[in-house]
Amino acid sequence: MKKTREKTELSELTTGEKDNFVKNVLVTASSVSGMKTALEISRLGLKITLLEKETELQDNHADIVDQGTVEIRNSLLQKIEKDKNINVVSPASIIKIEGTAGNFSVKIKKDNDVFFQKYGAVVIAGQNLTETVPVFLNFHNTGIMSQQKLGRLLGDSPHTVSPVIRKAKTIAFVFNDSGENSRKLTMSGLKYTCLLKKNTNCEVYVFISHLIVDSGGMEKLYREARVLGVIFIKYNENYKIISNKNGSIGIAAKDIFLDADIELFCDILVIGEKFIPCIQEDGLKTGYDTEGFYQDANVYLYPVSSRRRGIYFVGECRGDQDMMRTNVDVLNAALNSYELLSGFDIHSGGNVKVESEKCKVCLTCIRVCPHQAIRLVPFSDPAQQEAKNVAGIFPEACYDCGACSAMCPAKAIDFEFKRAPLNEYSDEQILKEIECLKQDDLPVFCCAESAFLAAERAVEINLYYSPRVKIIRVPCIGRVDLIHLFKAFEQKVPGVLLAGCPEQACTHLEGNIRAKDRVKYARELLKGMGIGEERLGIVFIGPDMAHRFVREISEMLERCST
Amino acid sequence: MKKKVLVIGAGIAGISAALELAKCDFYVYLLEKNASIGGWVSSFTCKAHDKCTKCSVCVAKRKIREVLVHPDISILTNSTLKQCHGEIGHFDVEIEQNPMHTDQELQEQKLAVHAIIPAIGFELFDVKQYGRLGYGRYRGVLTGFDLEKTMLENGNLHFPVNNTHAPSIAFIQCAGSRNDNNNYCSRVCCKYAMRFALLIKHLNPAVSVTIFFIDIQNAGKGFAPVYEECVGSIQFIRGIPVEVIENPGKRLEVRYENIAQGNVKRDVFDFIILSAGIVPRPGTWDLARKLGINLDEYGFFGTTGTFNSNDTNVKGIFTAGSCQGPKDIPDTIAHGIAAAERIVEVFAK
Ligand SMILES: Cc1cc2nc3c(=O)[nH]c(=O)nc-3n(C[C@H](O)[C@H](O)[C@H](O)COP(=O)(O)OP(=O)(O)OC[C@H]3O[C@@H](n4cnc5c(N)ncnc54)[C@H](O)[C@@H]3O)c2cc1C
Ligand code: SF4
Ligand code: SF4
Ligand code: SF4
Ligand code: SF4
Repeated sequence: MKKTREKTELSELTTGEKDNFVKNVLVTASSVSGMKTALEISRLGLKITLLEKETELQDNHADIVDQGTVEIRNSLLQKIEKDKNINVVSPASIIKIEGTAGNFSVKIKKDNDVFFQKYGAVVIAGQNLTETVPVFLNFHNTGIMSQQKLGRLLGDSPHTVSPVIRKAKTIAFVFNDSGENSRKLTMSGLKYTCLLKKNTNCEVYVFISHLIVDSGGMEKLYREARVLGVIFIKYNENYKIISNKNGSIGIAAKDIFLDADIELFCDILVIGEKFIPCIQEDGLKTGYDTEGFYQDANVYLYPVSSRRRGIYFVGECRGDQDMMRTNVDVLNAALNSYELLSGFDIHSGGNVKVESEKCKVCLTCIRVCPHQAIRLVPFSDPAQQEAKNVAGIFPEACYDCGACSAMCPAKAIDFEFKRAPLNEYSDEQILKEIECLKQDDLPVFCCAESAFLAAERAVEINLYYSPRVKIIRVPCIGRVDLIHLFKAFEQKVPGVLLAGCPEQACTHLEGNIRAKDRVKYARELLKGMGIGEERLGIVFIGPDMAHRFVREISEMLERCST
Repeated sequence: MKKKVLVIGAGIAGISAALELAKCDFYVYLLEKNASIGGWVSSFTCKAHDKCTKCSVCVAKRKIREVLVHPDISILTNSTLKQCHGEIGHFDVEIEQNPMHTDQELQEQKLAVHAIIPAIGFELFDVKQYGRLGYGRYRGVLTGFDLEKTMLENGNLHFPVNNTHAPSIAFIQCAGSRNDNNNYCSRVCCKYAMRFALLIKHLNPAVSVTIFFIDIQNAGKGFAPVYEECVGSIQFIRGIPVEVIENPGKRLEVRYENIAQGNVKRDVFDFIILSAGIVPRPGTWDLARKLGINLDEYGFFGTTGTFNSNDTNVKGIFTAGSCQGPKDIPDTIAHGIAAAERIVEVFAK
């Protein structure tokens, strides 16, 4: 029953023209970054709904980095209350986001209610989507505490220091240096060491392997800490937590500079937390990075875009961002939403069409589209009695990668060849180019964003490559389907090469990986036809790599000429 | 009539801001003191081996291509700002354009703009000041920037063929950063060193790569896999060498302190790459004076407001990019767009 209701909701959505774009932006969750985003977008003249998971607007990380953020938060709260463009809904959360840029239909849960609401753009601005977890949970009352707890016991003035801390003679820190996301916690750790030195009389030691100091004045803070007398011990490999007969806790590590094992006993051992995402429910379909935070680790999406046009990420939900960076994210997301909904974001995609009559409703295309641009839409086939739902591409979300076209088993999807420059990517045109191949030619399918630029640069800087190489430009090597490959071999060419973006830098996220899988599959088929697998190649080449391009094609020529 | 904005400096920061403003119906004058645009990035190369190492050069170059053809952005090369008066909404600026050919005269142009974005970028620390590291004296000692250029032009570094030694290269980090004068971290050099280390190893598997460092800066979205790959294949040595000299075999001998053993260690390499730090451009002070904006303690453009890194003390002037402090390309682009937002916000109806 519930399913069918969702379906009707879905089909109700209409193809969006710019004028039909909903001028409302949904911002969630309402941490400092969320509140700032809402205010910023309001200044640009759009209406905002601010979703808050808890009953009241709050910010659960305010204490980590800067005590000052509490005041900032309070002043933001006041401004939000006064702002007529902002509507706060709490406690509520997003269940999923259907639809495409300009016309999202967001399923929202409020109290026990679940309902759909339309928004033009969605900004996910959640500190609430992250957590700092203590690395050691089972060390209660042993003198080990998390950095956050120390921060609370310490306060920010000499008078707020808790007696627990005041009693301690030696305090040792182990900073978390888990890599990618350790900036913010290192910064707060450094601040705490300085505060300890200023407000108490204890000895402070810091154990660390790599100290992150690359932004936010951290190098200066590191200096300040050393001047105040904090002792930094840099270790190799790992540290161990130890204890002695008296029950004191300590830490053992190998000091790199002294090349000696160091043991240090202390009254309080502070262990830096790990900064992790806490995304429980995900109806966003926008992908994650390698650490599990929102937003794929793909340079084309930075700073705030996601694989779905119209959904933006701000601040900590996309990784460890300090306040400066978060603020820059806020401005980026605000401008992007504004551009999208004011029709300034000129979108070049949407030139791929489904021939509804041919669609067998296998849903392959819906599954492969990296940008979530395909949904089922009602279609009444004149040849058939009843109306049915078929795949439909929403131009405002499509980026013309051609992945759907290559994967559709019914060959129902193609680039619209009426529009002049784009007919280049239509099946008709690609097949024509293949038909023109001569027996000795090496066709190289080049991604327009990477390998094709490398090939152009090769010509520019006068690198020689064989005239037998025939370059066929495609929007993404994910566009090249099996038919193209076999048609090429039918022309008796010695080999076929696909050249796309380096792994994890595909402009269409996974087009190059799909192509790689397809090549693997095609090689099996070719083997069956007596064609050696070395004759079908795939390489990953960055846009500047003219030399590499020339080397790869020469090697390929050599390989298949023998 | 379109609102007009003057962007000073056509590096990736200025370009990002200009593109965004032009999108939002502004007309942009993009001022560049050199003959070509793009700033440092235009001489950088993609640093992917088979996997992308997230250097973002491709994204920056795509923006450069875009800005060249945008109808609402007028690019004024060989030009600098001569004077500036006024306030937000109506700045009167005078532009000086150097002639392309020596027989032509210096051209001056007066423009009226609504807002200004200074985005003049950074300068590399002059590593010749560290004479003992041999830059400028030995051919094999390069800066990170020289390496970028060489790799872009030649696609590889050509190691001398030698039967007695395996070819090798070392990176020396923090040349001109994190010291008493510049007590900040340049942010980009650890990462590009690691990216190049992987790329060079990929192109020349026989080469051994060493990185001398103080702390490796491996934070930043998407960098964890790159760092992990480095840990397996690259030698990391903590400590900055004291001296580089050429040995009789024309190879470069690096001397560094081994504190544990209390002696000096020596290693021999074919190339030494100095990760020269990021410092303010010499012109920063002059431009700040003309615009009436403040500098920070290091000589970068200063900003006002809590956690805001675009607003200057003059209303209507917003800084963008690495002229405000060291930034990598993604941060620079984001900062440029943020500066554009500050302007759109003021003038949007
Ligand atoms: C060796 C090296 C390698 C790097 N590698 C990477 C990397 O792999 N990944 C990464 O993310 N980042 C990298 N970076 C950082 C990257 O270079 C910067 O983030 C980026 O160049 C900053 O761009 P910008 O526009 O702020 O400055 P710039 O690139 O310096 O551009 C400023 C522009 O302004 C012009 N200009 C200057 N003064 C004036 C004036 N008075 N009037 C008019 N015009 C003026 C300049 O000519 C220039 O075109 C690297 C940096 C270095 C040094
Ligand atoms: S892949 Fe083709 S047949 Fe399958 S749903 Fe999509 S358009 Fe229809
Ligand atoms: S061309 Fe690409 S982006 Fe467009 S609908 Fe097909 S798969 Fe999606
Ligand atoms: S981000 Fe850098 S390494 Fe990755 S593809 Fe782009 S230019 Fe190449
Ligand atoms: S990024 Fe690395 S090399 Fe550059 S200044 Fe910072 S610590 Fe030194």
